[in-house]
Amino acid sequence: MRTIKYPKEQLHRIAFTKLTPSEIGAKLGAAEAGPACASAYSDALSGKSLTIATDDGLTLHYTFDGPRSLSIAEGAGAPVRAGYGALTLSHRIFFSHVVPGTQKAYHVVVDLDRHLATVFEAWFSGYVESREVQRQIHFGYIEAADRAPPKARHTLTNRLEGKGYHWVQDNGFDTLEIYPSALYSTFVELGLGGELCFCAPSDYVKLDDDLYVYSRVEAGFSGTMTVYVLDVNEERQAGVRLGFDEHDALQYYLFNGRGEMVGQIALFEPFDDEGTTIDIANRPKNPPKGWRPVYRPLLTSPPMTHAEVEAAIAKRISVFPERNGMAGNSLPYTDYLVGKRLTARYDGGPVLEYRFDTREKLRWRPQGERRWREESYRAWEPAPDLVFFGHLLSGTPRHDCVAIAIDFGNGLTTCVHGMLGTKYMANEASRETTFGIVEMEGLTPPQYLRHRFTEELVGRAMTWHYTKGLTSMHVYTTPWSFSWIIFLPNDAGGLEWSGPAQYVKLRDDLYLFNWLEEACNGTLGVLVINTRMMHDCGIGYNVNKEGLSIGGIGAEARDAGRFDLRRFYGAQWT
Amino acid sequence: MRMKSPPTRSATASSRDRRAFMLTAGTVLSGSLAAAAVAVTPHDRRDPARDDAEAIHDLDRRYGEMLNARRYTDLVDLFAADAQVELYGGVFVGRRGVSRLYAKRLDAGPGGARLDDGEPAHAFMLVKPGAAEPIEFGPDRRTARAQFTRPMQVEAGVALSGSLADMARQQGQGTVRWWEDGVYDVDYVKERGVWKIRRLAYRSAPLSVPPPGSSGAAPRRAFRFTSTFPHDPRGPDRLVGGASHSAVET
Repeated sequence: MRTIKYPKEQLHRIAFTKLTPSEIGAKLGAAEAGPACASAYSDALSGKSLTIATDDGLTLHYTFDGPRSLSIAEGAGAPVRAGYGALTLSHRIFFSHVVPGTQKAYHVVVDLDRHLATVFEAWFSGYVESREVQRQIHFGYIEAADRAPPKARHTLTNRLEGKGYHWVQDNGFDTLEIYPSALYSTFVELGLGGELCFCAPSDYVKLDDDLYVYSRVEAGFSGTMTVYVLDVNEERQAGVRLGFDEHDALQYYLFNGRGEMVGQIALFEPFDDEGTTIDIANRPKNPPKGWRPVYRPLLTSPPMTHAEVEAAIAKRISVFPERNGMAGNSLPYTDYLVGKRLTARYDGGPVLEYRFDTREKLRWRPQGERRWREESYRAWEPAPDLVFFGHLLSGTPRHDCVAIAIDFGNGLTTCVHGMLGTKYMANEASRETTFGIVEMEGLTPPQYLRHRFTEELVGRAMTWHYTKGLTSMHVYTTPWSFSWIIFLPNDAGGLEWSGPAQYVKLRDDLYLFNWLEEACNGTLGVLVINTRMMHDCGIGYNVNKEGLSIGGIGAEARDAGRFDLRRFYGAQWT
Repeated sequence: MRMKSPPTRSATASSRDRRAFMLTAGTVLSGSLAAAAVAVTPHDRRDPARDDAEAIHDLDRRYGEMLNARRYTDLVDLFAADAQVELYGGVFVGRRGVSRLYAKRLDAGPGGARLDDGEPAHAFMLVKPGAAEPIEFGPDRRTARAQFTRPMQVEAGVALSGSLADMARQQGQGTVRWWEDGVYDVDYVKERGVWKIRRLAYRSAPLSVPPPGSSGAAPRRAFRFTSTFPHDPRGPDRLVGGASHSAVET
């Protein structure tokens, strides 16, 4: 039986050291000998000289002394010696080296048959987080005195968009990698238990119909860069990883990998759009070297202190505002609950008594208390006789909320109890999900049957259209997390982020789904998803400097496809 | 008669370009010119009436071009010193008020401060090729009035917060766009030989003819100013009761 060493902290909770440029420079000295590799290095470049000319002016003059040593001259500069490593994949050569005495590295793909080359120039200390690798892609060709420069080039592409792979590297590194976007990707480190998925800004380059280059930088985490060539027919990869791990140890190694495509989902950009440019509306006119859109949630939503949270809540509490872009395609509110009196009894959890006075006002109290508390609520009926509603629990110390699904067809109920404040951030919500039954006149609930957690949605991708101008896509990547992608103006996948999630099966094709935007803006979202209607209803619960809010969510879905992922999370993991 | 032939671009490209632009065409004077129009005679190489009309049409064209190019500071120079602009229930008065509207309020733009409140911003104006609205000149030919209607693409921020909002804004999105007919009632004045806009009143009307490539997105609910300067640092100088409001409702 395989033993998994789960990490003490998940990636988004690790407080990565803010390495200084000088610390990075000192550590990079070990990289000057070239990358390590669990497989044999390729000697395909030994004895060769190459000059790579790129369209934006970078020229690299290489002389390869053997399989591990080269000299490089950048432009008209003097040559310097460096250690390198190379791998071949399907007649393409991938090699990598640092430039000694600098914080720069080059990861290069050469196609000796077509005389083309793509250079990933990578460097540290180019961002406020010095450990985060910055990169610039240079497309070009291999110069030769006896031939004219080729007209063709490798290009950016969307031909990988929508694919997903299970990769196992020669060093045992075992990942699921999903490419749901033109500029981001999702990865799951299965070797560390695969509980959560994470997202990273990514690049996709087409070499030809068989071969592509993928890169990602784990921005906001370790800052490590991964680049690999992949052959979609052979399902093999050859690449490099460069960065510093959570212990600030240098990671610089080449790897071969074998993979398996786990699925492909739909693309939504126009058919004649091959993704050779990224349609970002606010690209700077003259973007600085290495510019790329990166979602950094803690910059836009900095963590708040407990005092700041309390001050914000004292200033404003917003309850189901009328204008809400997240509910532009909301199901209509229902008055199904009006006039009803019931007790929701949760196993090991709260017992809540309710009186639904109007379509928007209810009274509740914990069983055993005399005082009724009035709250504003909203309810929806996402399936016949199944109602979902949510409200704040005013006066609770952590400004709690509940989002409750009640199935009046069988008396079952599920409660997602949200609270503010975790050990990480005062404005971050947490939740407890409990299953139970409803006691109400005319309803006899079951004794043993309960709603339960499910993996039926795992691997599915759905687009969600909230309102004009706002559409996202969910990829339900693991049983405990998912990612969301927001579309670019040309409907290619754009920025992406992820968070912990839970999936509860209410009925066939009806699910209660909740997620937490941890290490982000702290939102708790709870939805009921009806995959027959391809519609949802739900609530979002959040505190920010403007105050506390609970609001509705409503969107129309389209099926974007499915990845075969559930088998990676089965009982073989312990 | 001298004709202008400004450059053209495709509407499809414009719908993808957030910086937007104005489709232009050669302006043609309609037959229904004001009575002050003077026929050109062999002895008169220049026709003052037609020159004035051309100048005003050129002024309108430059207004559209600058609006589309978001050259708001330059656009303010098209207005007279005592100009007024009325839209969405507010009146912006004088050079300061007009500057506050264009160079401060509109220039915040989608992606800027107005993103959350759904306030519309005029993304671009589509000139109808061959359009030639009549111009009525005052007796002294120092004032004039015209009304023209142009398809306007309007955009407003989507009222939302959270990670989707942050991500959308970071991609330069988080706005919704729609088409409406923008009806401009404009008074002009000739100052030191140069025609300026003295009063511009804008109101929305349901789109009569969808522009090519438009998605036909339904117009948004009307926005009206509710507070004035200086309470709103970028607000109008006064409010209009019932005037200049959008006729378009969702």
